[in-house]
Amino acid sequence: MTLDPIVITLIEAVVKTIVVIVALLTAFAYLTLVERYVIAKIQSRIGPNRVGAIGGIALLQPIADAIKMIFKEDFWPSQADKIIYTIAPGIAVGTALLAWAVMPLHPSTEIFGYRVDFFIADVNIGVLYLLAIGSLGVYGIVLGGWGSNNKYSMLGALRSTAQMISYEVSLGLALVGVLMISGSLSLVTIVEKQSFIWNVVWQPLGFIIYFIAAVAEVNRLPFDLPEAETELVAGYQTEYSSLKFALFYMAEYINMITVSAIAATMFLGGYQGPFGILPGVHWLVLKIMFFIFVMMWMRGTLPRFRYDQLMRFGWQVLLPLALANIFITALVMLVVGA
Amino acid sequence: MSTETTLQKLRERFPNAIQNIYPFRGETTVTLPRESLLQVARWLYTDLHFEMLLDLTALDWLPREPRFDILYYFLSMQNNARLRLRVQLASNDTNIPSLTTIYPGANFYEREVFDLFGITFNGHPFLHRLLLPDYVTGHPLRKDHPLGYEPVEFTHTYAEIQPGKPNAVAPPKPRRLIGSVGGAVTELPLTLGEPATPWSGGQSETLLINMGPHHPSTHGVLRVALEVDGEKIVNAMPDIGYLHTGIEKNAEYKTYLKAIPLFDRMDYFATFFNDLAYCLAVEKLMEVDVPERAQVARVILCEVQRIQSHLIAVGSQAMDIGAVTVMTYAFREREAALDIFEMVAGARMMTSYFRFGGLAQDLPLGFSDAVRAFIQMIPPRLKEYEDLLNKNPIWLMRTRGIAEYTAEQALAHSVTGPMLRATGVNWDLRKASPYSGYEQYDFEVPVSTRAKADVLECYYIRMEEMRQSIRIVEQALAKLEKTRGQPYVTSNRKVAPPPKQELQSSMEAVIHHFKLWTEGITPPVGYAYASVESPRGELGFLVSSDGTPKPHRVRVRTPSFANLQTLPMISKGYYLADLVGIIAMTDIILGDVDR
Repeated sequence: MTLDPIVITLIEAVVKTIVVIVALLTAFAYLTLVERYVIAKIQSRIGPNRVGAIGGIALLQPIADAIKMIFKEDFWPSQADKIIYTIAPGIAVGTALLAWAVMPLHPSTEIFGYRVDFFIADVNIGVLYLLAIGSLGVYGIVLGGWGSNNKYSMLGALRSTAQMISYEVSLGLALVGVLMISGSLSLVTIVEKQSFIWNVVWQPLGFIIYFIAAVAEVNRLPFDLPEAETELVAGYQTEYSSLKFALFYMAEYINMITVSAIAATMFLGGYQGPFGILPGVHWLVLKIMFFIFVMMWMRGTLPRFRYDQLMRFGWQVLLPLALANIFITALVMLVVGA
Repeated sequence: MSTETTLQKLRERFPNAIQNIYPFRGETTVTLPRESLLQVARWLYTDLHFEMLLDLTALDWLPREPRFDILYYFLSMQNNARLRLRVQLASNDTNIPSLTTIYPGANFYEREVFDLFGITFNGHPFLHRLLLPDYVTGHPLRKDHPLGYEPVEFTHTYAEIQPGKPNAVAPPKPRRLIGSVGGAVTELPLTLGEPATPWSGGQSETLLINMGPHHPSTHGVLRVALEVDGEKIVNAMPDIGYLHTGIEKNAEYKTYLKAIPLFDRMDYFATFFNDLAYCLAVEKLMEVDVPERAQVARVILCEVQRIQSHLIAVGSQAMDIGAVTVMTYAFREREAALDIFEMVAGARMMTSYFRFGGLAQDLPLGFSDAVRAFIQMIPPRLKEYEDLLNKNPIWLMRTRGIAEYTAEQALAHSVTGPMLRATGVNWDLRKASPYSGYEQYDFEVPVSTRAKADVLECYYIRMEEMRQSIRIVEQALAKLEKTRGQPYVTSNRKVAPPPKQELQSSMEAVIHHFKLWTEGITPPVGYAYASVESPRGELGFLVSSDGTPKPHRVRVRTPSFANLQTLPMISKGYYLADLVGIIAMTDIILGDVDR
């Protein structure tokens, strides 16, 4: 029996999408546990060690958290904009997941005679797509903050609008250097080109700028102003409870994985091992874990920026540096004649 | 300048104004008619350098007439002198001029007296109830205020929830609240000195935010009515009283001894200081000597607690600015201090360990070792916090130059403690008027060298104070060794109970014991004020006795109360995100503010 190639492609896409989404949601659930545990260790606390504990780590804690979240009261502020209030968490999670459509996870291999590509789509504008989807993510936060009809939520939403738009500029510009070296916007091509030497060697400044901007983009300390607990109670999430609250959390953690994956792909060779050793998805996972650990570490160490300082840092430090990086890259390429 | 010269000058300058001069237990109270109060106060401020209005309170001497004593307690740091003015008011004419034009720090004090005694301060810019809600009737600290049966009101009454029910009571009138949007807020101005202008609401660009009483970083149940322009603070007005438990009123209905546990509940991070100040006041009133062992133990416990309190201050300040790790580290160290308190008192926070004339019991075995281990542990841990914070550019950006205020502003608002020393004023009661033998210890008072105080400066002062406390504890531990076996409480049997073995052989001991447990102590008529340098500033107790076993009035001058007054002044023009750091800088304990 032979199947129509289109049907095969469709089945393949659906299967891959389901696998990616399930993997991401599991990763989200366990990231909450990892974060709690890592932060606890940094802060000389014990951390979760009760639910299904093996070796002092509560391995079933995420499941317990999920069950608790589901059974919490789904609270509606009386003056909230019902529609916006409801769809905002959906937008946040949706855009967070969409970015994974173009992420190359593993080198293409032959399985049972089929050539399987370990990415959902190889778009020739993959990087642009990532940036576009990343920009949409802010809608979830802004609408959530606006729809809650709460002043703290609104302030959080305003902060995040300003912050994410400002840092997206540097984020995008930091990637331009990589694009210039690779000569392609396709993520698959970019990864393939790093099979021996990673881009970070040629683009150290771009890498640093990207990472800082990415941390700001996912609202982690020291840039967690939109949800700054001590100032804005919980920022845009203040009025959310139950599953809608969980969705925001999910979006935040998936975004963390996403920006780490982009950093790994663009600068650290994605699934490529150092000097071409054993390419495979394990490298990507390791690199993502490394970035996420660094983000947790920063949370355990640094205080928070103030709103105006954050904006000043973004526009007056990061943006000129990113532009300088592009200029230097272009200059070097011109001189070397690449 | 001694008290005699001050009085001499006062007599010369205002020959007709002085009605009475009453020296008692080393304090001088000058009675004036109401008419000359403003004049004398202004003269004290300008000519005699009484920079600070330390305390302002009232006593109700029902059924005497004139019924009220309004007491003004002035402090001159330059001359290290204190002077109390007293104005007597009749029950049918309770008006008195406000001192806010001379001492802006009178603001909260006059509002408090207005609230609790019903004295009207003419000329006060914002004379509203402070601790109690606006809708309350009566003035609880008056002696004729009925006890009990106070109706508890909630925002949502049963009637509102179930209007059909037969027994439903009518809903209360809408309440005036500062900061609630619509209607109510228009009546209240947001800063001192401004007329009550309507909040412009929809027309202007400002946003009114109700920060607290339930908010993660108001350090308790403080409410701040915030007017912000974008993220910039236009006005920040503290609204207190959410933790008001009437401790001063309660104390009037307990014997002197039984009032001690009440005062633990005020500043719950400095319980030893509360007890110490109260005990010192009663000891002053009764002229009791405290044996050396008890004094040394008091010093050790207070200094350990000062470290503990500053740990929380520094830790929560860092947490409010986002560095949560410093807070968990600080709380880890605090555990060791609490273990010491548990060792001596059996309780970790509400210690109630000091008694009039000494301690409740002798120090337990192993106390010195525990304290020594604690003070050896602290310095490297302080280094750890400094590694995390001192060179961190984000921390410096968030603290340097935030909430700047000068020494003049601090003095005018009756600020004491680290907040005052951060402005460069060298004022510490342990040096200025030593109590419990502080003059025997070698330590320094950390004072800022900068012209203006800010959040960072207060942090530095607190860190340094912890190091100095360690020095004091080290010296005190050596002294404690020498006093081993000496009495821990006074032998004055009118104050402290006789030891058990005496009861079996001495009839007098039995009588003393009986009197103490049935009646309690009875200090002579009069009032005495004693103050200690608590981690937050000058904590003073004015204990007024009418010769009965229960205090006529216990007035507590708490440092947080005065320090909080500065909030509108120091936070104006900074950002919303700074406000949490500023509140943390003032290091208020709401139990201490509201009492």
